[in-house]
This record gives sequence, C-alpha cells and structure tokens, in this order.
Amino acid sequence: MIEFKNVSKRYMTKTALRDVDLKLDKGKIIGLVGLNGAGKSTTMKLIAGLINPSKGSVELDGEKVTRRIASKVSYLSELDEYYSFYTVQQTIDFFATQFPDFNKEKAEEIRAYMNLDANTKVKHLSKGNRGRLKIILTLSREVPVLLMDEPLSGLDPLVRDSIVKGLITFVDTEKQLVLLSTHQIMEVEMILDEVIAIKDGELVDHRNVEELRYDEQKGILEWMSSIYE
Amino acid sequence: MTDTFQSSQPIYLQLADRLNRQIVSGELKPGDKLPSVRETAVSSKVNPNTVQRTYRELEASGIVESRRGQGTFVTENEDILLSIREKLKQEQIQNFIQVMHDMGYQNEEIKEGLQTYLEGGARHD
Amino acid sequence: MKAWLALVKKEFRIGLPIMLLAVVLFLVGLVIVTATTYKFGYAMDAVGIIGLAWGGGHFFFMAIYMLYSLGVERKRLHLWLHNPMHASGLLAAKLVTGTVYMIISLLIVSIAAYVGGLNFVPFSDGTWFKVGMIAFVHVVSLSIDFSIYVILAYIVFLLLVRYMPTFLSGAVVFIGWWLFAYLYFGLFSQSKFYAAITEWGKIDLGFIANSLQFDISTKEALINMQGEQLTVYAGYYIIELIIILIIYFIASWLLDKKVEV
Repeated sequence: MIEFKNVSKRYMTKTALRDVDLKLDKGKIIGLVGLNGAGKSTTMKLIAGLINPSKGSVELDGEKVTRRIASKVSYLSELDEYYSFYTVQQTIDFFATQFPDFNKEKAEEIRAYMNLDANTKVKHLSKGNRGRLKIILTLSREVPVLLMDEPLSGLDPLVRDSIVKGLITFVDTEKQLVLLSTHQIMEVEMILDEVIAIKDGELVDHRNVEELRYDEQKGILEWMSSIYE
Repeated sequence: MTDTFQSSQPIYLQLADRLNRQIVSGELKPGDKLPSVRETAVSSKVNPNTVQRTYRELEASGIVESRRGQGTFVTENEDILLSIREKLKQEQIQNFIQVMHDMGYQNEEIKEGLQTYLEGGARHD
Repeated sequence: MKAWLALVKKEFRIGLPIMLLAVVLFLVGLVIVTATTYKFGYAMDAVGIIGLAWGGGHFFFMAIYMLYSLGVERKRLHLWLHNPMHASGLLAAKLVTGTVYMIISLLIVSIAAYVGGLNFVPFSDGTWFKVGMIAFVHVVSLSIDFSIYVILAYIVFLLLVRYMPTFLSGAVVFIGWWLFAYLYFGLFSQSKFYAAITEWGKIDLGFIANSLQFDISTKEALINMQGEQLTVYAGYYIIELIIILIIYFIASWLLDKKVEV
C-alpha cells in the first residue's frame, strides 16, 4: 500500500533519511521507533506529502505522494497547534467540512469517550486535552492511512491509556493502516502488528511483532535494546 | 481480563490459553457467545488483529465455532471439551513435573508431596 | 465548494483583527484630527484630508492582511497544508475575505473622504462622486494586485527558511523584491514593448481635471495626460490582470509542490 523506494531526505546541513526502502501493508498497526532525530517525523511527513524526498520516491497505492494525498491520509502532527479561537466543537465541525470522509458521529462518539468538553476554547485546553482533541480529529476520518506522530508524547499515564484504548476501539483494523511513532513502547506494545526501527536516518529493521515473540521470545523493548546498544 | 500479557511471548497464544482456561473452568459455558473481536481487544487492550488470530486458532482446534453473522460460540461438543480439559491438565502437570525435575526432585518425592498437600489442603481450605 | 466556503468562514475569523485595526485606527485618527482642528473651523476639511490619506493607504491593506493571515498559518502549516484542496483555493479564501474586509473599511473611510472633500474640491457633487468611485475601484484592485506579489514573496520566504536562517531568508526575499521591482517597474514597464502591448482601448476620463490625479498617481506613467484630457488604456488593465494571474499561478504551484512543513 505504501512504498518507499530508495528514499533519502537531505536538508542543508544534515541528512534526515538515507536510502530507505520500505513497504507497509493495509490493515496493520505499525510502530515506528527510534531515538530523537532518527528520522521518525521525516518519515511521517514524507507519507503525508508535507515534505518531498530529495531522492527516490514515496508511493501510496502506486500513486506518487503529493500534498494533496491528504484526501487519503489523516496526519496527526507532533505539534498541537490548532486555530485557538475555535472551540473543540467548532474545530471538529471545521475538520468535517474540509474532509468529505470525516465521520461526525464517530467524532462525537470519540469525544464523549475521551471525555472532552465540546465548548471549551482550544486555547484554554490543557496539553492532555489537546492530545485528546488530536486523536478525535485524526481517528474520525475514514481514510486508508492514519499517521500519528508521537500521539502519546508528554501526556500523563491516564491520557495515554485512554488514547491507546481509543485506538483499539476506533481504528478499523481491517481497512486502515496506522503508522505511529512513539517513545512510549510499553503503552503500545500490545497493539502493534509490526515495528520498524530507524537509527540515524537509516532503516535498521522491520519486524512482525508476534513473529518476533514467537521466533526469538523477545518483546519490543528487548529487541530495541539489542539494536541500539 | 485486564491483567497484562508477557511481552516476550506471542499475545495470540497467551490469549488463546486464557480463553481455554475460562472454558475449562466453566467461566465460559458450552454454547456461550464469546465477546466480539473488538470487545475482547478493548477489554484486554490488545490489537484486534491479534484477537482475530486467537479466534481463528481456537476455531481450528474446535473449541469454538463461528456462526455466520452471529459471532463466535463455545462448542457444545462434549468430546472436544473433554479433550481440551484433558490437554490443559496434561500441560500443567508436564510443566510442574519439569520444574520439579529441574530442581532435582525424584518422582517418589513429588508424588508423596502432592498427596500430602492435596489431603491437607482439602481440610484447611 | 462546500469545503471552500467553510474555509472562507475560517479566514474571516483569522483576518478579523486586521479589519478591526484598520477601522479603529481610522476612527481614532478622525477623533483626534477633528478635535484639534475644530476650534480653527477646519474640521470638515481635516476629515476630508484624513479620509483621502487613509483611503489611499488602503493600497497596503491587502498586503498587510495577507502577511498577517499567512503568518498565522506559518505556525500551523501542517494543519493548513494538510488539506486535499488545491493551493489556489487555499489562497483564494484568504484573498476573498481580505477583499471583503478592505471594502468594508474603505467604505467607512470613503464616506469621510467624500463628505469632507466636498468642502475643498472644485467640482460639482456628481463629478466628485464619480472621481471617488474610480479612485475606490483602483485602490481595491491595486491593493489586491500588490498583495499577490507579496504572497509570492512570502511563499519564496517559506521555501528558503527550510534551508537557511529566518533572518537570512527574509533578507534574500527583501533584496529579491527590490531587484524585481527595479526590473519590472524600472525597466519592463518603461519599455517600448510594454507600451506596445498595453496602449490600446483608450478610455476617456476627460471629465476629471488633471489636478485630481493623486489617487491614481501610483501608475501615473500609464495615465496619458493631454491638456485637459485624462485617458487610460483598457489594454493596461488586461495585461496587468494576465500578469497577476501568472504570478498567482506560480505562487499556488510553489505552495502545492515545494513548500515543506
């Protein structure tokens, strides 16, 4: 479904990604792990078409990715900047107008599930609640690809837990591909089908998590420490 | 079902094991409907794909049956239930004996110990 | 279309402070000027002059509006650009809302300019009104025209800032801007070629005396004055429209294909 062919991304002074070949199939929840600056966000943005590869190509269903792939991809940035003058409800309503695939009933369901007040202005939301809002906006779209850049980062354990449960409840694992990057391996360990490790801009390994457990009796954390040591 | 899984063993096997035990213990009775894949995924906080796989494995072993459009049900086939019951027992005994042997206990010691424990335990419980 | 209209609604909300600022500044200026000139008996003249000056200043309205609005988006580019809509649609939503706001602000200013101006312009009411209308239309269209160059400059800035420090990117765009202005206004629009493609379709504005060219003086080179006659060329407007559409297309293309988040 998603394919990286020999992709590199260079900036003026550094190479964010080097010669990456990667294939991601639909119907999977895939974790993207690596240290800060390893290239996780770069990978996400390349799939969202928000940056362009310096070399190689990124394709979705055989089609070259551009910014307007947004019609098939729901992207959750690591930043949580929304339009501060909108309330939670207005933000949801605005998203619903911009994406034809946005399911408003689902958004309402997730909002209630996440226990987020609809009438609070975005600028008055706590960090945890902004994290919840991002999840609502991202998961309410009925698109083939969901990209979530650090959905758990900087949130307290209760919020992280509700987000993970939200993922299990609201992602359509038969139709949707979820790629999420995270530092919080423990939280997502049980929900990942596959895991991809990147290090210094290079793809180190790409594994099926259950096979990893079956073949090597290793959890993701043990596997990671064997890679990063 | 919220207690955690071991991260170094396949989750689908651990979950299958858990369901087998619930069936053998009678927590899930013959003919009972299993929670949907999604419900099980949420309550045990695992990937729905994993639950799907567990259900497939259980179905292959015959202990559950999926009925089109209705869900997955514990089998009412006595033979299968008995054989699973027997299989779990054998597995547990095998594990136990293995551990005891590893620690150097002899069969006689184990038998004696078990007997004393079971007789004594019955009175104290 | 539904998505675009919803975007327009959002843009109205983003740009509101600029319109309010323009109106409030004008009203404050009006009060100060009226208060200080009242005792000398020139209050109405002063109102007319400040109206004309502030009205002319609306040439910059759209550019300021776009810089503000694009500045708001720069902080959340991942949000603004993560949208299946063509970049021209994203930019058009901003231009349309800015234009509506400018017209509202300029109407308020125009009333002051018109009423105050009646005290000192040497025209009959009818002519003064017509002159005002022409000036109004020109300020609005020139302001939009100018802002599209500013949009292009800002997008080039967004491109550069990925590869060099903010200050340096700003400096490069600034220098590029003046270079472009020199090439375009200094050389190209003075050339025989430019004259050849623009000087057709004469429109006679003879009813306006030449003393009143102030509000269209920005393009004075194009206004051909022959004695009491004042003429403009339809060709000039058409060519400028084509050029600005090309600039708009380039800006949209860059935003679509090259700007990175």
